Amino acid sequence: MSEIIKTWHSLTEEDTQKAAEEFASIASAGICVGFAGQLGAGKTTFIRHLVAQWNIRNVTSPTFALVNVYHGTYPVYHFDFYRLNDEAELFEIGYYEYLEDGEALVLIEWADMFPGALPPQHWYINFVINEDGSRTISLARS
Amino acid sequence: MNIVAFETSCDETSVAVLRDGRLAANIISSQDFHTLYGGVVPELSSRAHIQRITPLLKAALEKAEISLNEIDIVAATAGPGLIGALMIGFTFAKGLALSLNKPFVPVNHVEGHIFSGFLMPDQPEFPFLCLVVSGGHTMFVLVESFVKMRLLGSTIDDAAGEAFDKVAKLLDLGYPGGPKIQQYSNRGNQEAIKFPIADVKGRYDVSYSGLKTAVLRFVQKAQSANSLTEELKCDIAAGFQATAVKTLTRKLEKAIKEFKPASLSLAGGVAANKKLRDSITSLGLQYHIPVRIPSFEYCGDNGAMIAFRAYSLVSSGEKFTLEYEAFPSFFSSYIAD
Repeated sequence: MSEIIKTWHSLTEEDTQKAAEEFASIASAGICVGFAGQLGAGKTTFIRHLVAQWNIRNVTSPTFALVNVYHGTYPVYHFDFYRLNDEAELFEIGYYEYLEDGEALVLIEWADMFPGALPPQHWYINFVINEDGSRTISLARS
Repeated sequence: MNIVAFETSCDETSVAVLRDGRLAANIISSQDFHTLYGGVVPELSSRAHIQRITPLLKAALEKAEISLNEIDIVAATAGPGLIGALMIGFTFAKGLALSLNKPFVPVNHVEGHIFSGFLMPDQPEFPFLCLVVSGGHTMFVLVESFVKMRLLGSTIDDAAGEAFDKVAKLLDLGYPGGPKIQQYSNRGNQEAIKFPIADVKGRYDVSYSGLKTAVLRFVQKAQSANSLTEELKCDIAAGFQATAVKTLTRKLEKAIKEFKPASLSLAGGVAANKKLRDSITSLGLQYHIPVRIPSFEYCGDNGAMIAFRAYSLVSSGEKFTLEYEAFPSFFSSYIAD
């Protein structure tokens, strides 16, 4: 079961950056983080500020490539499940092999598409766009 | 010098033959069944590439009126792309090179796009400014020679083609998004809805994430007001397309002023967008710079550009071994930041 351990209210990209930096201070190699939230909710933005803490600057959306690999303080595997239709395709793209790399961080956008594909121990960050355009970002741990 | 080249980085399987720098065959098998699924399906991609690669090679050799024994170089896309799809063409080509005992040349897919203007009768002149726009890439590259390029800027989040696809999906227009947005735009008024152009810190970087979100919020409001008519969709598409194109041309104009290139080029799948082609042609006219845009056949993924890129590398004295590995993410030894 997962419990929400922290919630941020973000009005601007700077707020999202602060949340990402705060999460970076507790994140380390070997973890897997799932990200959920509608198109444009700020998932890629959060990830960009998160991995900047590990000297990675070239973050872009992996929607097309399905996975981007970055090399910084830690290797980071940045996945995007948006274009996938079937959980079996994760096997085809080598997802489970990336998960086994204990030295790396695995970050997954649209993780809610295949919740069963996340390892038993993982972090989960959910983005909600509020009526006024601000974002509620909640962090949970399983 | 006869080159056979394989391209399998995404949803097209393509095999081309280049004879002494001249294109002799470029066979493309578009995996059109992807339209049924609303996007490229990785598993289907890899399997379809396997099924198609041998028949396509035969067809390309036949078209070029050449036999395998006359091939001097075997080339293939090494990346970036879907690794499962890439590996099919890449491994097939390595095997072929080994069996023919001929050199193997790995080609960067984006570099293939950058030089696709050379497949046209009027070729770009160095130094040229190239805008590469596709589903996975948005890059401004200053091309000084076949082996020396500078990456001026790129997208900091979504690629231009991805923005087209995602907005098409928001509007429920179908896949592929680019042509659909263009169709709807033609029937809409691009002045009706003004979407913002993102301000980005990097001089030549662009961002499409904010534009995507702006369209999303507009669509949601219209949906909750029950006013998302076909007419409104056309106006949204037109407003989005105009902003997406302006995002690119604004930076291009800035780069023209700073670097004074000898020509302008446009490459990649989004280069098929008519509004973008027209806008860049206008820029060229305004600054008296020749504009070299490949024909539609060479805008999307194709083997011809891979063959030409291999030719330009070999002609520049570059050498490669069979130990070279495929790579899913962008990496180039010829493009400096």
